[in-house]
Amino acid sequence: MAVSQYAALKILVVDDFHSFRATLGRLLAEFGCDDVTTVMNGPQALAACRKHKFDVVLCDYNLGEGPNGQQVLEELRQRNLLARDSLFLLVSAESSQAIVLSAYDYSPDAYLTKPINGKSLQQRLDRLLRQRDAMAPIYARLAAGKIDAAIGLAEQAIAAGSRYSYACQRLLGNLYMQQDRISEAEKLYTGVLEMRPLDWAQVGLAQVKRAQGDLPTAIQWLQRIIDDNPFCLPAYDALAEVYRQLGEADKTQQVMQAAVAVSPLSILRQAELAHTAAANRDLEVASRAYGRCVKLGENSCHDHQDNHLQYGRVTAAWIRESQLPNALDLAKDGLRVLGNVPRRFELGAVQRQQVSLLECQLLSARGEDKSAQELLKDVEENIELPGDSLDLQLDLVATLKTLRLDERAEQVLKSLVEQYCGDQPALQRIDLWLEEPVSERNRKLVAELNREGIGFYDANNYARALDSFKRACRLFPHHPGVQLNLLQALVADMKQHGCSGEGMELSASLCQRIQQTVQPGGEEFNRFKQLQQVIKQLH
Amino acid sequence: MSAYEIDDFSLVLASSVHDMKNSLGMLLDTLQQVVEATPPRDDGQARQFATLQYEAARINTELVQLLAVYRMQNRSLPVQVDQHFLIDVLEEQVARNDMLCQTRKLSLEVDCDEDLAWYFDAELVGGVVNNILVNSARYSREKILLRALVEQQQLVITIADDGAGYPPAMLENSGQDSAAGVNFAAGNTHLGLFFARRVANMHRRGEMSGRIQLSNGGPLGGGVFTLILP
Repeated sequence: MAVSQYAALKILVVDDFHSFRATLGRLLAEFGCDDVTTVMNGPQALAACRKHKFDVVLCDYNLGEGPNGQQVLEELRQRNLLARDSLFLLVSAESSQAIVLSAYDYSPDAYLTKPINGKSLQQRLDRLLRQRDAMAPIYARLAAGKIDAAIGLAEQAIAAGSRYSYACQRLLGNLYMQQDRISEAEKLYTGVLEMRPLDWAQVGLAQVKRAQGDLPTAIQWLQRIIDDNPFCLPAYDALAEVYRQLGEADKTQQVMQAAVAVSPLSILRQAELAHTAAANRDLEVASRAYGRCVKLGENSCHDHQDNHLQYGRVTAAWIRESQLPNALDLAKDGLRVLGNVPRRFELGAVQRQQVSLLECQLLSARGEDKSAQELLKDVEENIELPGDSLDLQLDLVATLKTLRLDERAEQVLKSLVEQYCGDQPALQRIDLWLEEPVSERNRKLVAELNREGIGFYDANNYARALDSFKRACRLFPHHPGVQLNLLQALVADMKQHGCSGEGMELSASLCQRIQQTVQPGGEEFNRFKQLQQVIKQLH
Repeated sequence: MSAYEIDDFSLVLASSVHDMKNSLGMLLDTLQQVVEATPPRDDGQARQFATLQYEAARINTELVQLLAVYRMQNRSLPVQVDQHFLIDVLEEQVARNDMLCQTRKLSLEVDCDEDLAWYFDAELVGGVVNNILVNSARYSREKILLRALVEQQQLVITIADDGAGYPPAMLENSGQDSAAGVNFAAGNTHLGLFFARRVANMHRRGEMSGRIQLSNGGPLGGGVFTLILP
């Protein structure tokens, strides 16, 4: 590229080291860039981009305290401060690949590895600017929402054998899928795959299968891509999506967990895992994932107050429902996070009360019942029942249960069931606290899980029976029927395979929970007593 | 020593290498500043600065490779195969070594069709080419030739120099993935070749996998390194 063209470029350099900013500034001046702005950190970069439109941003990955380069990019794109045809180059001393894996929604246009010299920088910029110019008409159509026109241009470029045919193919595949032009996408991906088994085209073709309704094939292909290349994150994302579509909640979570293990720095994937695990009532996984969301959120535009509240909520639930050796530390950390929430976010009145209720639960977990009770009293004076939000009331139920104020919890639940009698989604959430679910979906679900478990049990397949009943117990932790069934399957399994420490622990905690709910005299009570007898003999 | 202890030690090594690399980065930055603040007074001093830069950069490359090999061993090094133009990848390596060639008064020629494209991980293959280039710069007299072409549906990248060529012991072991040829006493660890072989091997197509070859003679009469990717 000629010097005159560089003179027209507006460039932003972001680095916390003065020497690097000076070096880059000098290099850029050498090949004719006069319009170079330099800043030290993320907030300054955002401010600069609000004022001016830069053609090129050169940003160091490591910016000291505050957001890193990837987070700066995410925020610039998220807030629409970077034009689509602007180039963002991420500079780092690391090889880029550790960072590549953390990129979720937005990838930089290029990674530069330090040390950088003038010749490499110019060569790289030349190449990127040539590509930008060649692709500019297509991106202009996209920005204007003229997708079909963009598709037409990309098709022309490929037909004409453009140097950027490959980039056009990738883009075109996505656009076809977006526009529901499935058979064209299939043709494109198949054509690419005839040349090479490239990951993106394989994932694309699996997406085609999914769009055509052939979910088993999509699953099989995506799983194979992951087996071949465990770093192919789009394959995990697509696979999780297929499982979600099928309603396979456990499998969705497994895939998300594997994806997060590969890209632990991606806050959006962590959040998705956390939501999925929380819905599955896998409290351990959910608590850890929300904890990482809070941490990663510190400098991220994807930080959200709900993640912080959820961390407190699921951590309190995890402590409540399991005997954890590190419960005290967990509760302390939960309190720390909740304590910071009012400083970090502007909360509404309801949210402030929710934070207080969650704090009650965690204080109780720390053995500080007296402070918890006092705090609860404060909150309750401000809650009007019924009428307040369902979220808040469910947090109140959890708090009352944690403080062993069961009678009052039952009162609130009773009024909630009445208040929301026609509202199925609300009832589904209330079901978590009821002995018998009241929503249509959950009544069906619990019956189904029971039937499935009993089927396995009758076929002497105790391991599978345990899986079904465990899932039922996770989703309906107050349902005495499924707890009894789980206990019975556990006893049968231990009779056959011998006692395990884990099995005995689980049976002990189940007995404790069943004892609290089952009324003496009934049929369930007798079943429970018999099972207890058998357990004694197992010892 | 149990397997657990070996694992543990390689982890210690890796994190220590990582640390060294960071320090070296600072050192290179500071060196750059010193050169800028106090330009060399004469040719002799310019050569000394160049030697400092060259040796520091060589250590840097070695450390980067050590880390990459460690990650390969742990299956935690992603391979991202995409289509790339060879001219871009080769010229990038030439540009990286611009300083080196100037100070050693070497001419570096790239012989490659502008439109030649192939499928590979550009960062890994670029790393291999760079490393061989840095080494060739040491042994060549005045010329290095970088060439890329497709032969029998495989990509062939050669780096040829006009030096004395590879010693016979290296030629014998060049194709094998072993630590053969490692000689601590002679300061000859062949890390670069080990890395190159592993990178070549990570590129597969159907039944074929990539490989490297060493030979002598070639277009410039010196050592010839060849990387073949299916």
